[in-house]
Parts: sequence; C-alpha cells; structure tokens
Amino acid sequence: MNAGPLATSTRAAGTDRGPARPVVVLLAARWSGDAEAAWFTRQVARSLLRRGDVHVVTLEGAKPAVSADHAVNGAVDDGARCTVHRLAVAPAPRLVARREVLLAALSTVEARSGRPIGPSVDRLLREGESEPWAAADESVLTLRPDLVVLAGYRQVGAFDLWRRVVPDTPLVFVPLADTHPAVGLAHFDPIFDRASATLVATGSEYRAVTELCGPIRRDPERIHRVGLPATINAEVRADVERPPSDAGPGGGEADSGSGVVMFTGCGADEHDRPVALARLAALAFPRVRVTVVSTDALDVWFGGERTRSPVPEGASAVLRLMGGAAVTVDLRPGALFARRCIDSLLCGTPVVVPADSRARQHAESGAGGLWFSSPGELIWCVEAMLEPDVRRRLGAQGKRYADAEFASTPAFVDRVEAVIGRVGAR
Amino acid sequence: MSQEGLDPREFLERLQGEHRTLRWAPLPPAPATQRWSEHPMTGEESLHYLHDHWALPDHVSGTETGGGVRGRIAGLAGRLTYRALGRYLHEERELLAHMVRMNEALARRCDELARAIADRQVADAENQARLAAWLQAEPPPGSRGEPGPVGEAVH
Repeated sequence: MNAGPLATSTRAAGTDRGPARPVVVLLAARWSGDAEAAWFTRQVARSLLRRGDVHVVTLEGAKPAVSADHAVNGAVDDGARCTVHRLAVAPAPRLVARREVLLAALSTVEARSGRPIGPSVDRLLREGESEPWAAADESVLTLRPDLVVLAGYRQVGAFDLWRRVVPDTPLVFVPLADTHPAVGLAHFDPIFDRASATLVATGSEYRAVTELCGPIRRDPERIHRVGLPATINAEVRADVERPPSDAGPGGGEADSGSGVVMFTGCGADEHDRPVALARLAALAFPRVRVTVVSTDALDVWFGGERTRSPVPEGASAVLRLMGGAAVTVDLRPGALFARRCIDSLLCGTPVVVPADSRARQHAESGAGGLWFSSPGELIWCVEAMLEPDVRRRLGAQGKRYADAEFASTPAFVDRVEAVIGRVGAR
Repeated sequence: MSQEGLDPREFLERLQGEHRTLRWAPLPPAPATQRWSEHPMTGEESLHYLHDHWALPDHVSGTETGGGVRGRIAGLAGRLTYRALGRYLHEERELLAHMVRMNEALARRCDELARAIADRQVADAENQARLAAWLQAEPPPGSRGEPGPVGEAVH
C-alpha cells in the first residue's frame, strides 16, 4: 500500500517536544480557498488545536506534500501544530458529474422519504469515492489518531477510510450541510449514524440536518450547534460604527456611502438571474445609489447611468461597502451559512435575501432584515429598507443578533472544545 | 424615530398586503412625441420662408428705380452703394446661406431625435415587459432548493 504523504509520524515529533500531544486527524476534501465550507473547516481545525496536534488530510494539491499551515498555527501559541497533508488526488470528473446528476435526481424524490437507496444506485454513487482517499490509509494508521474529524457529508470515501483504518477512534462529523436536499438521502446516513458527535454552524443548518437526516432525527442529542467565529476587524468596525448620516439614501457628497449594495455572486455580464434582479433594482430606484458587486466588476448605478470599476480587493473593502449602505441585498447568499449577511449585520446594515436561502435565518430569527420570494417582493423590500426608521430598527436588531451569535471566537472555540471533550477524545 | 422592535415577519405580511393589488399599466409614449411626429420641424413654414428668402438683393434693377432723371440718379446712387458695400453684402449672403443650412440640419436632427425617442420608449417598454415576464416565470435564486453555490466565496 502506498504510504502517502502522511508517512512521517507526528507521534515522533511530539516525543521530540516532550510528552506526546493528542493527535487529531481532520479529513477534508477542500482545505484552502474562500468557500464557506473550507473557511468553516479551518475554523474548526483552529479550535481543535486546543485539543492537540491537528493533521489535515485533504485531496487538494498539485503534488503530494506535507506542510505546516501557518495561518492556522498563527492563531494559537501553546505549541500545538496544524500540519496539512495534501494528497493531490482528483476524483475522476466523469464519476463526479454522474454522482451529481444522481444526487440531484434522488434528492427530488427520496430525500425526505428515509428509504434506503437501491443497491445498484448505491453502487453507482460509491464508485470512485474511496479510491482518492485510499492513498492515506497507511499514513492515518501510522498517525494513530486520538480523534478523527470528517468534514463534508458527501465524503463517503473519507468515511470509508475511517471505517477501514481506525474504526475504534472516535469520529466527529462536520457535515457542512448546504441547502442541497441531498443531505437527507439515506446514502449518507451511516456517517451520521457512526459519528459520536455532529457539529453544525447555524440554526438553519441544525434544522436542516435534524429534519432531513434519519439518525439525527432519531437521536438529536448527537448534533451540536457551535456557531461561527465571524468577527470583523477592529478598524473596520470603528469605521462602520460611525453615527449614521441623516441624509437621504440617494447618495451625494453629504452621504456618499449610503444606498443599496447588492451582491450577485456571479459575473457582471452573465446571463443569470441575480444580474437581472440587480438591474431591475437599479431601474426601479434611479435616484438611489445602487452598488452591484459581482465576481468580476463593481457597478454603481445612479441617475440611470452606470459606472464600472474593479471589485475592491480584501474583505475590509467589502465590509466598508456594506457598513456604509442602507441595506445589503445578497441575491446569492453562501449556501452554508451566508457569511456575507452575517458580516453586514455585524456592521449594523440590515439585509434583504432570497426566502429559501440560508440567509433567511439571519433576516428572520435575527430580525435583521427581510426576505423575498419574487422579483416584486425584492423591490418592495428594498423600498421599505430605504425608510430610515425601518432600516435603523432592523439594522440594530440584526447587529445585536449577530454580535450575540457569531462575533466571539473564544465562545466558538469553547463550544467546539466542549463537544470534543464530550466524545471522549483522549 | 421609534425605538421599538420591528418584527420582520409581520412587517413583510403588511408589505405584501399593501402590494396585493397591483396598479400597474405600461407607460404610454410621452404625448410630446406624437406631437413631434405630427408636426415635424422640417415642415415648419418659417423654414420654408428662410429657404425662399435667404438670398437678399445684391444689385439695383432698372425696374425698381424707374425712368427719368430721378430714376437715373437713384439707379446711379444704388449702384454706387452696392459697389461700395458689395464685399459686405456678399459675406452677408454667405452667412445667411449657412444659417439657413444650419436651421435645416437642426430641424432634420430634431425630427430624427423625436423618432429615436419614440422608438426608444417603445423598445424600453417591450424590454421591461419581457424582463418582468421572465423574472416572474421562475422563483428567484435559492428558492427552489437548488444546489447551492458550493464554491461561494466568503467575500
């Protein structure tokens, strides 16, 4: 068997530095990048460092490699280490595409039924799942982990690795259950069933998993909502917490930052619905500064004219845009926890979001905004938000909610730590 | 400003209630555009007058001065006057010719703009109607439980 990039035992490294620290292996298909799932996985890893050395095993990478993750390591100073083992194995695109089609088809009829999937279909779904992870078998065995954390409910191959190699090691599951109903398919039940604990980020993810996944529905004690460490940096916070201007929403010298900020989540000229919705809003409010942030351009509409510029780089610039706006409209919120909306609420700016998106929780439970089911409702919601009294009240409520739920990194780490402690990691 | 809490669900229900009755009608083309098309600038009487009368007299004809001594003296004075002012009168004729041509061009451009505005209004109305129909045809993104943008960036 190929020893793979995990061959270097970190137990030996632990011995060099004194008493061996507990070893946590985190299996994550994706580790780097700005996607919400990868970001949340990194936050969990950061919390796990309190428990011991963390070894991330990921399919990513151009070639097999082992390296320290300085970004994660920089967050802790107690000698724990995060090491990333890149397997550099890409699942066959043909099999991935077939699996996606099958999951989409099955989700429409089977997701809520709880019925087991037929063996032939199950075999098709499994084809090619385990092979990419098999490269790490011997390495994980060598690491002798005290705890295995599996990120992503679709990583059946990673689950097979755990079951094959270290089945007696406690397993903590981070499903990263987005809005796709496939999470409810019985195909994924064994992971929920075997995991000692399941960690979810938000209340809406908690509800989705509890409602859709049979093993969790039967035993809801095993699922834990740990929230998010979605803090914004102090400088940006100071900037956006300036007293709001009394000027109208139209913009101009006295109130240049106000208006509507819309995120399309796609290219500025793509033939996609969010682009059309953003243009509709720009048409509907010609006397309001409407800033449309796409993946490749930033358009400012005012007085029927459009000014295009590059998207400002860095999270701070986007935060400042939202912080200075009357309302943030996220036309394609993140499918896991809608981070942009949380950031907007942390800045005190209310949100308008699609009704069936993850972001709705922030608008509804957090009372921080409104949600729409049709283009007409989108326009009414934005119009209502342009009323100073409405936006100030919803903005204040949303900020209180976001501060309480998501703004504390120590609280997040404590919650993850508490769950890990409960599953009995050594 | 009220400091009381605002329940977004109740607020949305109120909004939906307020908008339950749709008072919508397509905007008709502005009345002015019809007036413009019925009375094009190129049909203005003044423009025709300018075309007909821009060339002012540049000499004295015998029929204007009449006969006799008085007529000859008037003709002589007229010829002297036109000869002395000839250069000026020639320049003035050129100026008037250009002004008339400019007026003609402006009148044509006005009519073209009027047609363009009317055409644009019609095209805008059609475009917006198509957009509204298309947007209404399907629910907005995220409302069908469709696959979420897995690769969606945090920022």
